[in-house]
Amino acid sequence: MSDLSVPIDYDNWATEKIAQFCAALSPEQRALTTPGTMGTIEATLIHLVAAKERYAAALQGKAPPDDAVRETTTKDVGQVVDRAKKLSEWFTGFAAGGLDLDRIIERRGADGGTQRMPMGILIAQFLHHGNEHRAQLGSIFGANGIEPPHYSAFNWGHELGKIS
Amino acid sequence: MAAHPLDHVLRHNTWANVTLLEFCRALDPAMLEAKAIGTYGTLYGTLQHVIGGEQWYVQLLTGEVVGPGRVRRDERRSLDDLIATAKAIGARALTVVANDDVTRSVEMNEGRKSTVGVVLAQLVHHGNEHRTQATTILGANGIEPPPVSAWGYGRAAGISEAAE
Repeated sequence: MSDLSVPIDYDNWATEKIAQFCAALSPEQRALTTPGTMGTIEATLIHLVAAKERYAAALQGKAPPDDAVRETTTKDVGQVVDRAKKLSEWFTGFAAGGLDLDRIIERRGADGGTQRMPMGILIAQFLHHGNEHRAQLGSIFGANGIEPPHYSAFNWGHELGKIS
Repeated sequence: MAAHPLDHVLRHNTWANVTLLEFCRALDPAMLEAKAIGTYGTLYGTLQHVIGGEQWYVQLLTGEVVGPGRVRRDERRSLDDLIATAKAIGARALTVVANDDVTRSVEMNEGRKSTVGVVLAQLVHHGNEHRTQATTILGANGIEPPPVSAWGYGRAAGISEAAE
């Protein structure tokens, strides 16, 4: 196990958990939001997984697959849950391998230009991004009286039996 | 020698804490009492909780209270003090990952046990989660929050071109 496997495995667990939780909400609940966050529950969830698609693709040096979750086209929350699971499988294998964190990754930016960064920066961003948008979802749940799922890393450790 | 796999993840965490604290230090002090529905509490309370939490996580790993003194929930510390504590915690966390084993068992409170890896994953999750709540409070109160993503960290460190 590489040391990066721990936070990456946690991200996989937390993203799948919150995707399943959101999918079980009603469409009306998924349309809820709260000020200061990026948008509705559904839009935030789709963005969370769509970005994870792009991080995985950048790490592989290719474009996201045809069935990738995208902010512009994805409507089916069930697809989001399925892709979150597949992305978990990919990231688990990725994290278990030998990682050259200094390797330069190329990524297309929002302006269409090519951005270059060490792999270590992309992974730090991937971990930040997941936590950030799960936190926004937690705020939306709380603001709208929805009891949120427990998705901290301590919850994860407890579920895995790593916290006794 | 190659950097530790969690090096950028932890450096981003410290940079984001300091960036957010310095941004908030420049605000009208009354803004520190601002809240947003669905978040942890006031802006100040959230910032203090981020740093106090990280201080405890590092104490679990090292047995040391890092920084100029223990950050207590019922004791108001200056933002300068929290910035100094955040920097000290960040430096100590880097020495932990350089020398510790993520599978090592650590004692927690109430007789519970965890592993170094889960505590580190929690530290990263906790920082991102509550910084997001702080930026949600800022946004909900009409203040454009500072960029605290790892893209921002990479640019500030001069090692990445990536932007939002």
